[in-house]
Amino acid sequence: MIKVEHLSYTYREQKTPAVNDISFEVKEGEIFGFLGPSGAGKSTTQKILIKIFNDYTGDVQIMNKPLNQWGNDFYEKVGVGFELPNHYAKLTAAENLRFFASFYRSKTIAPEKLLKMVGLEEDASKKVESFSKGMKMRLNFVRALMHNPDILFLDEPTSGLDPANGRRLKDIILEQKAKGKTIFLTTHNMYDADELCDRVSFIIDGKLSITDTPHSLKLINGQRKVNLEYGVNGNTRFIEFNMDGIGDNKEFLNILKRERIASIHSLDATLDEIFIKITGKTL
Amino acid sequence: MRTLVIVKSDIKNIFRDKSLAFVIFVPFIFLALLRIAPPVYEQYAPVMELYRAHILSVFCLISTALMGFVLSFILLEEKDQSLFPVFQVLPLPIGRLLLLRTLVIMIYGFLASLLLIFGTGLVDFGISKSILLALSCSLTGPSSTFIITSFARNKIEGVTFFKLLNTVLMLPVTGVFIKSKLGLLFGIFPHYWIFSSFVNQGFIPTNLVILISLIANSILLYLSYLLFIRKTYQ
Repeated sequence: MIKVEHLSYTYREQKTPAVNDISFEVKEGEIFGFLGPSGAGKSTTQKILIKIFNDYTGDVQIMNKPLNQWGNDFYEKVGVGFELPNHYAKLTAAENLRFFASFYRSKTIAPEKLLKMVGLEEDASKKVESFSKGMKMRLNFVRALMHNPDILFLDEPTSGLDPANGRRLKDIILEQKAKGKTIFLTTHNMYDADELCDRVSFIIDGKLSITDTPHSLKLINGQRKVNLEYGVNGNTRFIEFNMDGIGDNKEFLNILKRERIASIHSLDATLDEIFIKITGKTL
Repeated sequence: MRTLVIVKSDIKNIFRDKSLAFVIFVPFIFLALLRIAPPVYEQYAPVMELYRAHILSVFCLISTALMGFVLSFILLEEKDQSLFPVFQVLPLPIGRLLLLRTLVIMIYGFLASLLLIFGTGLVDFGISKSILLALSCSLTGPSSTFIITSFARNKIEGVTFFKLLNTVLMLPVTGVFIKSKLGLLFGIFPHYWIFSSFVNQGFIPTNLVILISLIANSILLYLSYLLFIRKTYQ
């Protein structure tokens, strides 16, 4: 669906490229996470993929067509969710959606239905200037969906949202994937990426360091250990066991038989830890 | 349908901002003022009768520039709210949206100028010349919009730039008060030709002055549009 080969981009009056010779492919129906700290080149890459920056080098194909051969009809097929809220403050939520819907030739989803998806149906006739950041972000998000695009570019979609609304948006993203949409997710929230993405790429200083599934990354980078928490005479004890040969480990089996187990965890690495391990940088 | 929604949204944006809503009615205030004031002050200073066309040209130009100011406020609001990147990812080319808004502002400026020319009854230019004068004035609205929005980063700066621009717009009116060919030196300002179309000094045939005015102000509009696109989208 998206194929990027040797993509580089340098901002005017800058010597070092913001995006430096990166290559990756996003398959149809996949949620692809583009992860990295601020200034790593995530947003620059996204701006190239959505045709805001055109003076790049390398080859970009979207829906089997070179990006530079797409005209304005490109935007009938892609939806973009921006990192920061951007709406007409003096228009209501429904008026904002109606205004932007008027730019599409294809049939758009009714504003009322879109607002209901993100729990803003009661606020449809309120001016956006009275909205909280979270409400504006939800409005940003549904605007990207209004024309039923094949590809969604979402930049930090859960930024500024409370856990309940974050959950709601993540469920919608997964629904979109279930409908066969391709989603390019730019984020530095590793928990969202872990939960949502089929594959992730780490970008740092404009370069891609690795692309893989979150599961594989965790398997490769995790410790093959189990952390056991159990109670002895009212005291809690922790003990670590190697996973290898754990079925024959007498101490482990004895504890399981005799003690009151509080918790058992495998020591999986988190995406955060893997990112730091691979790139040497924190998010 | 699309055009209607865009125009409707722009109108809502204007009327929900009290200061902008007021500006829309300024040509009507000017009309009232120009109907009431001249007969009064001409009683005390009959010489002022000679300057009716000068006064009318200034008020017509201010009216159209004010419309440009209103549109520049909408664009600056879009800048403040980071809406420009959103327009870049919509299927309608940004140039088409700007063209639509330019036309709306021009039509309003054109009608406002006609209202003042015919409504005040200060000078009888005849129908065809009045239409050409109003058309000439209407070009000032969008060019003011693009100039203000190219340089101002927010609405506060927008007000400052509008005041500055207004001074620059009015400066060449000096040229039509000069009763020699020296006044033509103000011809480097495109708006001199608008004033000169209202108050022809007789050095150049009136039709040619109007033609120069239309061409010079169309060029200014085009250049200011390019400046706006360069400053905003490149």
